[in-house]
Amino acid sequence: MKTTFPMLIRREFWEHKSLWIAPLVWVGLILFFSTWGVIQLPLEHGADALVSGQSSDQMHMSEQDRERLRDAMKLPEDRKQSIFAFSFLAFFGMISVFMTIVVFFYLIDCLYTERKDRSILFWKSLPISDSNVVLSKLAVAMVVVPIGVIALTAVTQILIYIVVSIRLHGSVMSAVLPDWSFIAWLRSQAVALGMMLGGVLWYAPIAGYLLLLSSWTKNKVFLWAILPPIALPVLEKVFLKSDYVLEFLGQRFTGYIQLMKLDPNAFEAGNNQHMPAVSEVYNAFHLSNVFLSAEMWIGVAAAAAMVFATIRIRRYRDDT
Amino acid sequence: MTAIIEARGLTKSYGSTQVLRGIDLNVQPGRIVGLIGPNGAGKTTAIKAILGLTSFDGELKVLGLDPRTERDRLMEEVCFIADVAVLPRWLKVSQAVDFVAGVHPRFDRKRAEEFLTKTDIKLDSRVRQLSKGMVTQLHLALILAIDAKLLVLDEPTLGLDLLFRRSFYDNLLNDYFDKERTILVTTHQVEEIENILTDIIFIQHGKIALDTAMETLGERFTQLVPTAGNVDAARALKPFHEREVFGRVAMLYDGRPMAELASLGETRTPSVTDLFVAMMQPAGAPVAPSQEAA
Repeated sequence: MKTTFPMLIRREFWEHKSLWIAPLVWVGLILFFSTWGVIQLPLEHGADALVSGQSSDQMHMSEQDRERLRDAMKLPEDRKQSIFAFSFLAFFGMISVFMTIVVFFYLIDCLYTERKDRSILFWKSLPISDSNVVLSKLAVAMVVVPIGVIALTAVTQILIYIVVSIRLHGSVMSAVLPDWSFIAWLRSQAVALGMMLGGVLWYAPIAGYLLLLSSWTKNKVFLWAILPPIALPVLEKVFLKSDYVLEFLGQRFTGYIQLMKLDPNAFEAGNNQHMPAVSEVYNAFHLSNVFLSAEMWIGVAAAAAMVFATIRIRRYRDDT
Repeated sequence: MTAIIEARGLTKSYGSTQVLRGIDLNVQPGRIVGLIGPNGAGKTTAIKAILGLTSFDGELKVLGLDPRTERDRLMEEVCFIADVAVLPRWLKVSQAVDFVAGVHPRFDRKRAEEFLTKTDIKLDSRVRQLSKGMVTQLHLALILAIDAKLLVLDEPTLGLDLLFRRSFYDNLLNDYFDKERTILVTTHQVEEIENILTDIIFIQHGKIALDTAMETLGERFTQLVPTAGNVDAARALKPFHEREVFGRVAMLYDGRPMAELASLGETRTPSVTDLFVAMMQPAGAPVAPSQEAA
């Protein structure tokens, strides 16, 4: 037996170029604006003056900000590392949310276009099982893209760290910058991996639903994807005066964050001279709550059922 | 020898419409079988059943496999061209070759590339940039490089100009067909492929109207154009079809020896097109002389 799976994955990136072009453009934008922001730092006027506040008319900086800056410079290393952690989480969030949108469009399209342009007859003329085809598409959305997001986040973080280091070099402000720490970096990767795994599993039923729609709808797949989650709660409210569907959907969309029971203290940076230690930041995500919740595994089971249904539909549906 | 395709009592309905009403088939290796019938006769449905693309009732074995349950294995030995429109428009020629090479255990990449160099198709073109004829050439290049036992073609040359149609079948015969392989082809253009077929199957209203080898066609069917005085005598021998051609009557007989008819006028073996027109017409309906197979 020939291993066809890698080729099936490659095929997806040929057809859906947005899967790799969109994130590159997005990361390019993030890098550009971050770099631009770093370059704008008014260091030329003398960082010492900036910190001490002697030339306040030139520096557009309030006394409060100055105070924070001075505090930041005096922070012990494990708290400075939190700055690194926050920026990492910010990049991770920006890239993840963006790719969620890209993957949404990918999933509703991946089994729909091949039926619309009848190319399914070509793919089906080759010895590839329908389960492999469907699983390859699922793997793109739930394995390949997530790994890509983590890799891109890591690259973004490292590049920005380099840019900031160069910019602050020789200035007193370089004292704000945490030292490069491989351990801290590994930690950030582990947290990203855990959060990604939790997110992928938590949102798996939504992916399964989109895949099912993609293999099933005759037309207007986008409407099928977004209309029911909007219309059903409204209809329920109007006719039954209840909110069960809304609660159900709300729980599925926000439950992941809720279950993590984020420690708000860990994110109150800069308020009242408070800066959390880096371990506080990373420990704020209680991922075990997610992995140990029945809700998540029920969702995974529902996703598996929908993927199975998708495979059956692609195998037996005859609408060409 | 084991049959390549063996079907018994194949039936299929879409809702209340019966598209296949008990089809029996027996296709032997090394044959080129034309499945010929008017629109809606059930050709494409029969082919979809053979390829495991649709559900059906009845018995069907293709290469000894059940297309319903063993489709993935079956497709390693069966190739299929639906029509010119099924290659995805975003696909690059080089990607098409890479993909088939990556998933098909019986694909000979070199062969496909050799075939492509004989055409005007560039490897970095996308399917959307190719003409209809070139898309068919590309599809053919992929198929010819696969060492398959059965090739199924469903209207493969629909909408192509004469030159592409001719070279398509020439390539098929010269580069692909041999005694080990079998081709099943449906087409509207009966007259273009009748000289390459070894067997013909007429299908009408979901039933087989005729299933015969070309070698026995001449033994079974005769066309007679009786001389002026013999028309009534010829009619007495019960032709199953007659039509007027340039003021004379052409009659078709099934199972009358040509020698018996020869005394009544000019005889010859009818063409597949003649037979098709005759058998697809409801009995007794007038046929315009110029009418061809639809």
